[in-house]
Amino acid sequence: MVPASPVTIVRLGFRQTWIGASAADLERTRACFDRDHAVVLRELLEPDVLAFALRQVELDGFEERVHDQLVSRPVDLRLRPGVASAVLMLLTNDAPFLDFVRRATGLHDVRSFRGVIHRRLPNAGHDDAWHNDLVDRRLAVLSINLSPEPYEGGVLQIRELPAGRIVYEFANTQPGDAVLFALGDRLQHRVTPPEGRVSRTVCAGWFRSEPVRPSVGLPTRGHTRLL
Amino acid sequence: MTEVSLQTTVRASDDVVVRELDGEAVLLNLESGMYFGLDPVGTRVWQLIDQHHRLSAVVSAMCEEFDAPPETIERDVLRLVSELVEKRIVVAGP
Repeated sequence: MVPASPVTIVRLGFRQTWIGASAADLERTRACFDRDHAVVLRELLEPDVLAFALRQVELDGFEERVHDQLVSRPVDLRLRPGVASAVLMLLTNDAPFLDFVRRATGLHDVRSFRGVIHRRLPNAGHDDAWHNDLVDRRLAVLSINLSPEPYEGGVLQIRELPAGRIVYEFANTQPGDAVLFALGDRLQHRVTPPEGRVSRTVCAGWFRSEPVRPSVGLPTRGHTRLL
Repeated sequence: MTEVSLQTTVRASDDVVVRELDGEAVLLNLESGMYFGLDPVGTRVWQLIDQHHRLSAVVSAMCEEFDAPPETIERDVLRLVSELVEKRIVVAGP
């Protein structure tokens, strides 16, 4: 299955969000999202943001999280709160980017994004179950690849119910690229386990209808430590 | 608290990422990991700093826009900028 959006149409930078999508690009992106339930956003992170995030992720450090609800009780690593998470939350909640997402998906209720950075180790028995994420006013998913080099496995799969037919498969292995995909009560998704020797590290989360500040936990004034 | 005056010029630190979320500025210092959230008035001060740099110009513009005594505006702007300098969110020039 060939992902749409082979060109860069939106980029998150330290100074600003760059929207390069023409009206025709947005129309194509929207059509792709409607048809495939997903679109790939090439080079979503500008090179200096990507370089900073890759470096900062290692500095912030991970903590183990055991998935007790899965039979194999796999362990993945969740990034500790720190600068890497904070900067990505700030950039992904920029008004022009949220507006782009609304126009690219047709999800007019999108008002905020909240995600976490996590890492899955190869061959750690991480068999993801099919799920739909439909809680907590979630509308769509964004997964930004923060793996420093291409990994194997880690394929996003989307299936339609009730038939259960897989309608979308994509391994987002290019650092800084992102996949934006739909949620729905007739859709489920999962990610296949990473294989080989390279871990899969992503910033993944949900666009939601909740306003930005309560969603992201930002202060209304004054200063504070990170999330 | 860092001393600043109306003659001080300031600019955003290279280590700061700024975004306006729901109309209010959020400043993140990448080096220290500190957030600084501004209310709508503080956000307007921030925009004027970006535009004018010199604090006398910032205060003049604020006086035209806000119905408050000039001395109150001057005191509040200088206090806010002092704090921003202290947190290394802005850099003060000559």
